[in-house]
Amino acid sequence: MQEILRVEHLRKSFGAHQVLNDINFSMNKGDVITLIGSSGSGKSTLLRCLNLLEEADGGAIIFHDTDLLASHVDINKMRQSMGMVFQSFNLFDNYTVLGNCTLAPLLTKRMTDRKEAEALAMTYLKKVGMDDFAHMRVTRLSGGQKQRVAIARALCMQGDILLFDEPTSALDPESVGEVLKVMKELAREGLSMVVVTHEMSFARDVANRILFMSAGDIIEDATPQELFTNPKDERTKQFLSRFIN
Amino acid sequence: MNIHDPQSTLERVLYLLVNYYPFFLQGIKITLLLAVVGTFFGLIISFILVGMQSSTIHFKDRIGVRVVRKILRYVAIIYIDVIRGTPMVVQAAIFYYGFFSRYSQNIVIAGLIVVSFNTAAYLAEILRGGLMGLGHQQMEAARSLGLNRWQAMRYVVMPQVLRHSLPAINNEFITNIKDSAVLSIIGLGELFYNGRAASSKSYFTFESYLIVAGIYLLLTMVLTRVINFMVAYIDRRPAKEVGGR
Repeated sequence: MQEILRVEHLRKSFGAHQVLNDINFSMNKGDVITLIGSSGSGKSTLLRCLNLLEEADGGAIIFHDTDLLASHVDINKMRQSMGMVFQSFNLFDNYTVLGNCTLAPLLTKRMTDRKEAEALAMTYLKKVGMDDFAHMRVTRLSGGQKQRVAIARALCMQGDILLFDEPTSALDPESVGEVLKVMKELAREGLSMVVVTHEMSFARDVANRILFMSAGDIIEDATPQELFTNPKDERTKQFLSRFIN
Repeated sequence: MNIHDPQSTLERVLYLLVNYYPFFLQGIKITLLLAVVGTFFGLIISFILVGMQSSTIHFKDRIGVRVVRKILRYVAIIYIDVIRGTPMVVQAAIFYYGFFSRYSQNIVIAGLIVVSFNTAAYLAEILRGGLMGLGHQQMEAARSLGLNRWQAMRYVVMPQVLRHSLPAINNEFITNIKDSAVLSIIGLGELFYNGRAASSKSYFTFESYLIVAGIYLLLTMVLTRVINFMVAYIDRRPAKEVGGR
């Protein structure tokens, strides 16, 4: 398997508060990794560090054989290959659904032909079931619809990895299903994903690896079957028992 | 009613309007010029001030870039404090008598400079408020797609900030119509100055200022509604898609 991402000794603190202690893991092409753990365990911070939305204090993030924390790396170019989907969607309210999807590919010159960019956007919007809403203002969409557009927007960059930061946490139960269905489909197609989630069913059914985090450390790195049937650490057991009960 | 030998207030008002209308028309012209052009250039300067004030420092920035950004931020903060902390009439007097009049006698240009730079400080605070209201998520979402800071500001953040700030910008424009009256201190023939000239020539002081007040009221009422209509129109339309051929 081809390794596309490796994190080595990643550290991050906010002032005196150490959020990530010594994070190490690697990811192969096509992997679906879910990060689980209690609130404040550092899952979202880790994800944001991967995309350099947060400044790591030390360590290395090797993406396609390049350390992203090295000073010479063009972060804009790198981010084009590592999309991100946020908990609160963060769609650009001043554009239509289609405008949201074509803006970045065209501005970053990943695509130069508007018609081509629109055709690609329509393909991804169709994939997430939002092609009928292409010309609508995003402010008129429901939460689930917004998140599906956000996924299509990230897909339009045709990157190698997609990062999801609690993509269903701000949604009602019905919309959660819509979004998870899209994510499952993407996982089935072989898209590499890192997903911070509280959706244990998604972690169990879709991920091929689960990283359980607690107090800034990765406590367990296991397959869903191992983690759910035979958790090794006491903290993992306690965390899972809260969900199961 | 005899307007050639006016006795009552109404007769005097009519007398002034018939005999001194060029004074009032010229005054309206200059007042509108100051408000429209002053607010327009003020808005442009305010964008620069906001850029100076809110440019964030990224950990990959070189030390020189960090220092320049910090200096620019403090320059903007001091500028805004000074302008907002002193009356425009004083600024106009200092600028014109202490500086501008040595090089030029063009009072209209001097007035436009004073209004533009004065209103820029207030508009910068309005835009900064809009920026804070929008939150950092839009910037993050744009950067996560690989847009650089300028593209994110230009195509995602500022259009939304501007749209949310339009009512407050409109308010600033209306304030400029009224407050430009203080530029009579440098002898600029705006509405108040010309009203005073009509009053000196006709000796109908009360009626002259009554007309001036009526014109200000009419201008502000009509323009407020026109702009509100325009704002509502703009608000209904999504932004034009950008980039590509």
